[in-house]
Amino acid sequence: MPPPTEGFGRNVFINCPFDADYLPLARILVFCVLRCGFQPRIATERSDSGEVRVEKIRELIQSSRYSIHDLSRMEPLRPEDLPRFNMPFELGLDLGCRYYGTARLKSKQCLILETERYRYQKVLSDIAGNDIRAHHDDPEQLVQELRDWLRVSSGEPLLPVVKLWDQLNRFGDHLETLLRQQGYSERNAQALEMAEYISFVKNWMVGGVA
Amino acid sequence: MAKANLSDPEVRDQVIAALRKPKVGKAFHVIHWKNRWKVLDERTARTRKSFADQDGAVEHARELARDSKIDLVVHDRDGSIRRESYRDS
Repeated sequence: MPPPTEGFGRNVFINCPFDADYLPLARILVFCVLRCGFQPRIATERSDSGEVRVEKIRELIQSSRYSIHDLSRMEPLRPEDLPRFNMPFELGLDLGCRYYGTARLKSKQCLILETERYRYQKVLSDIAGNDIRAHHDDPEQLVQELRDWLRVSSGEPLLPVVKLWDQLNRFGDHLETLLRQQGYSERNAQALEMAEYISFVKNWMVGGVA
Repeated sequence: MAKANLSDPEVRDQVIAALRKPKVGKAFHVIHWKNRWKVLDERTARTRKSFADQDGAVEHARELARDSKIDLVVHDRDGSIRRESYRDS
């Protein structure tokens, strides 16, 4: 039976920070998920001030068979701040959903990412038994880890990683040109909403990618 | 050829999207991958040659772009992009 084209089995929940420092990596995750034929589900995919944040996260987790949790930015933004707890909290929700959920939810698969492989085992020892993949903040490594995990988890044939990387770079050039033609300033282009970014990627894919 | 029905919002959006497509044509790209710099021909989506250093790859891609009268796009490791056009050379 061919794999489904939409819905639970195609959704990939992305749990990552949304600060400017991480944004280039977040966009890479979104691009690769889309280009591999899956649908990224991310808290910033829609903006509704009336929506309770944890309720939105719950809905995203419950409706996604796959999830990516990047714990690489758990440290405080400033030395006087507390660490950022959102990412491990959402990882816990996702694992709980899998353990206590219905048969469908028990089929959930997740990829846990870190900068270095064993960095958080000291402070988050509950996940010491999980296979955590390291991307070393390197976009190439991130693409490799994501693509290889999705290939194995879904069992579907996907683009070779080097083709995916080439297309990511070409799309970056395409987007920069397109935004300039549409009158975006460099600042506005950098601050592009994730929903808009997703829309640009989808339009580019519709145009036919070699 | 039949005219597009612009009163249909879906058709109108498609036409606008087509008009907004960048008018830049194809290019040679210099891209880093696993400690090598490669020259990618966008027209065929194939790697033409790979180099140990970026300068060598850029020089080779520049020659190809000049010969083909198309653009050269260099992708730096920090994500920045620079484009050189040889379409009028």
